[in-house]
Amino acid sequence: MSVRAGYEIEDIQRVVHAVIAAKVSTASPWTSWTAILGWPESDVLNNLAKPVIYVEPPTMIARTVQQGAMSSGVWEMIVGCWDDRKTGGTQEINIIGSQLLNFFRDKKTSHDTTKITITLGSTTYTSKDLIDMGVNVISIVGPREIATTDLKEFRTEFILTIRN
Amino acid sequence: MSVTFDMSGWVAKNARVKAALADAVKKSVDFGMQSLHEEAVKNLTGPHYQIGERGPMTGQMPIPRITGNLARSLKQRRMKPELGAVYADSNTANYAAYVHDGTKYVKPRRFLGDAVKMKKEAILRRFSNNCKLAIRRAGQ
Repeated sequence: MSVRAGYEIEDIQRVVHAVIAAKVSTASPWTSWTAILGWPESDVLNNLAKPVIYVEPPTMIARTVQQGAMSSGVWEMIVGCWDDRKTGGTQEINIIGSQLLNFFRDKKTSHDTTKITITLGSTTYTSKDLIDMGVNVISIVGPREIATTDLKEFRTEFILTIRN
Repeated sequence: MSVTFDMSGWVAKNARVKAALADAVKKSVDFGMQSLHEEAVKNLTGPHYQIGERGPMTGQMPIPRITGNLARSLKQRRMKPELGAVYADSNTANYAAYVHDGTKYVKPRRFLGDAVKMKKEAILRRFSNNCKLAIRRAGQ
């Protein structure tokens, strides 16, 4: 368990972001997108050449207790896709969404074969997967289409449920 | 000589449980809608400010308000006995979606989404308790 006790909100968000960032830096078609930690401000969106996947902080929604084991938290976090006039159509946002759904539904790829290097506090973890980091994505639901003010701007959001 | 099987008591008990469950579900949906509505209104009743002023607590909950129109636009509607909705009426506040989900220039302030996260456990627990109690009482 590498997510630090007392720093879960920050650490879970960073670990999930790191996994998505690992995908966008290596695997096609993910290389056509950018992963952003937190809410993308307008100047960030304007300065990027690619559609973005943003990872918001998690919220604890429940705590599960098992006899003889430590309790674990159930968290929900929003992962959104935002194409702000980068492609001009709905096709790209649908592909991003489909890839996200497929990635987190495929436990082997998302929780095992995708490796990340991340520093939490003063410790650097090299070549670790989601399970090593203590983050278990138990479901992904979506997409929820988000209203935009611009006809050529497309947004969708997914909710990840995570056990930590 | 004959053996008679009379299951009428079992059938009657089943009918009582079914009716009691329907009532418990209806009460639970009422509780869920009421809880979500109250929590969402709480999220929308931040400090007042005037048009043209810089809003206080930008991007935070409770959301600062100019008129309070958005909080008043929140409504509850029952579609079926087991299905209810809490929503911001777009005829009253057509900007509700932009406040809730954010835009390029404004961070999202999820007054309904956050209310769901805050109340989900309580609503599910109440639902479970109501159903268990109803079954126990009807089965006696």
